[in-house]
Amino acid sequence: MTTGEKGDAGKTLRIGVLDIVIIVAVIALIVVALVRYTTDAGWLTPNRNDCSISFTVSGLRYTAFDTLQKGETVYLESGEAIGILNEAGFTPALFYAAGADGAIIDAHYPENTLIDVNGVIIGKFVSNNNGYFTVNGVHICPGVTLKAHTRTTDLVLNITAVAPSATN
Amino acid sequence: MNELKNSTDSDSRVGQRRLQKAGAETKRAETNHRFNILDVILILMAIAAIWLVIAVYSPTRIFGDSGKKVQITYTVEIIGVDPALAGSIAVGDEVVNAENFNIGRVIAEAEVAPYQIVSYDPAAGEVIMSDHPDLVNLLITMSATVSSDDVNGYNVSGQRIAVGRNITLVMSAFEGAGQCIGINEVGATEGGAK
Repeated sequence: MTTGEKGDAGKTLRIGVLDIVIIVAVIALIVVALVRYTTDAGWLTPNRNDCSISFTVSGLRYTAFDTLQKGETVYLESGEAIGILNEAGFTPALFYAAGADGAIIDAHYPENTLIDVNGVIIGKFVSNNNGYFTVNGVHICPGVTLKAHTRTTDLVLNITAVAPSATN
Repeated sequence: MNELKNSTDSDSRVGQRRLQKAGAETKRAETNHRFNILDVILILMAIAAIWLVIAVYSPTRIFGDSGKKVQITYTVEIIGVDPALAGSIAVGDEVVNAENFNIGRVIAEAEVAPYQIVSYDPAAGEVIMSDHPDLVNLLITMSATVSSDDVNGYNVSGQRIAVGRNITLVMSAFEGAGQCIGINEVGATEGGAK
């Protein structure tokens, strides 16, 4: 009887090879996911290159420019960080009007109204034959419009140029 | 006699073996349905994996910098409205957003600013700016206790408060949508929230 009890107790704690495989797989999954999303471990992410993205933001209220700071992180709407704001400037916002001869001409908003912001974001992007992508697969190329934000400001970025960064 | 005894002993042993076998099978059946430490570990791991997936893909962060609470004042500009509407906004009015979540309280009289129209005068060859004869802009300043973190900035009741963001304001006697044009963290050493 004692021998039988010992045998049953042994069975309840016996771990099979399959159990070990499952445990190891789950632990590996958790560790990889944690490392992947809490650090910038290069060995877990595709090869990325330093790039500079030139952009414009049209028709921003002039006071909004003061909230942009060089060195701030820029995020996409999804929360994915795409880089650091490296340069920013502005010009009076552009609009089109009919001139005296009826031809369309460029005109600019007066001071302290609307502005067009232009700037450069420095970030790391995945590069392949199809162009530059964020780690999450968002295509970054001239002509693309992206909803983005800094900590305090919402922006609609019109990408005008993407180039390998000189800081590489 | 001996043969009879031997036969009886043998039957008895067979019976005992059968009983033992039946007992062992019953115990085995019982142990098949018993949770052991391995099951607990696997369940805990499965829960951890699910929690991790939710934490990673949830719009609100579960771990890390979940956001400290800060007091802010922010101003929303509502463009091109009847000036009489300014009287519908009272200091102390509770404000909710389009989803009916509280996003603050009005802390100042609504400021009435001219609604300016920008156009190009082809005869004069210059851009002119004129005030709209009937409509004005309203600047409504509110105070709110918000969560603040590095990625999402300021959030109250799931509503992000950011310069340039369109926000719908619903009060007891007024409703309108406009753009946030300024944020100040109360007690901050500098004027603007950076």
